[in-house]
Amino acid sequence: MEDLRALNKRILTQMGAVNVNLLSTLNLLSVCLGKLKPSADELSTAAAVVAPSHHENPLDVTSINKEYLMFARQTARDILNGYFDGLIILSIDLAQARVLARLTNQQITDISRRWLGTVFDVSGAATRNVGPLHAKAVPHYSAAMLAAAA
Amino acid sequence: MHPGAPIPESAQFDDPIWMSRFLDLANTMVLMGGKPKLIARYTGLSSKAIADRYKRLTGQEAPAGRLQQTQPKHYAIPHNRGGLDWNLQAAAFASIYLKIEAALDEPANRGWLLTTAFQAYYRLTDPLQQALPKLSRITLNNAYDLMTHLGYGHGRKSAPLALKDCDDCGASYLVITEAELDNQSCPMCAIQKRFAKLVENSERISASRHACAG
Repeated sequence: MEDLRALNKRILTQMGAVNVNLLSTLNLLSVCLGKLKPSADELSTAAAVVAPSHHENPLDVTSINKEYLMFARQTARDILNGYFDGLIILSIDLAQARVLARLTNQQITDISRRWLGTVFDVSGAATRNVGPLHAKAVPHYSAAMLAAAA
Repeated sequence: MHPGAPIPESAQFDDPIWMSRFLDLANTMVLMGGKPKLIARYTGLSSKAIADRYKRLTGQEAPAGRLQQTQPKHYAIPHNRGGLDWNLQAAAFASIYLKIEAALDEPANRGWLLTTAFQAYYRLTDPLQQALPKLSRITLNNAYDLMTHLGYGHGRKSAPLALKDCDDCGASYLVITEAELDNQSCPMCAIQKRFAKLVENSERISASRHACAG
């Protein structure tokens, strides 16, 4: 939970989310605010590429990609061991989980550096301009985000 | 068979490849308080075998009574036994159930899917339950009832309940498909409106007191 909280906080601050309520509900939020962009096939292809690429992400993008993929790999391994809540946490399908779980550290580094921009999309809720919630309504917002479409 | 793999829809109770998984499923459903009829439906075990499992695993008798069958509005509209937070919990479970179903490669056994989605719902709402100890989460028997209202396969299009996205807060909430959608509002927005109204009222009372004192 601690690593998810740290990742969500970083996504919100680095990607400039406008929804102020997400920051106040971070401790209760059990889903990741980043949704993996590549499909299982695209991720497999990206992992298999060994040739040097013309594109290289700036350091901050490479770094957040790496943190996201490290978290996603661990969650994907949990999924394959029967903890299917990981599918909800990452908002991925089982085929993506299989590829993520097999990524090596080197492949994560390469994808983080060479994927065009971030490897995830920020959740629609984070970019939504919702007025500040009443303090007592804030905890319920975490359930609302759980129910929200990815 | 790997314990983490989903049980496919085609798996038979008496197939030696899947038998141990069905027994695990029965144990999980017992530990989650599932009604014997529900467990029997998805695992093929007899009532006696389920009652025996209840005694061995929980030290208690199996819960008596029929399977819960409520109206769809029980999950979509606040009532005296469940308010807006209950509607949000029902929507959270429905969303988890539908997402897990969609994330799998092939159709899964409904009992396995129900139990897996329910376990995920419980784990994911644990932090919220710790913050709000009085929060009532849905039970496995509610979850089954809710699952039947969400429909399955081709029947989903005409199912009595469906999820709708809120344009204001971004949450998804359950709506009764046969009722007028304009009259069904997002529970998260309704919770916020209720608290905002309380603040507004207290400010008005405080202002009128000041005026009286002046």
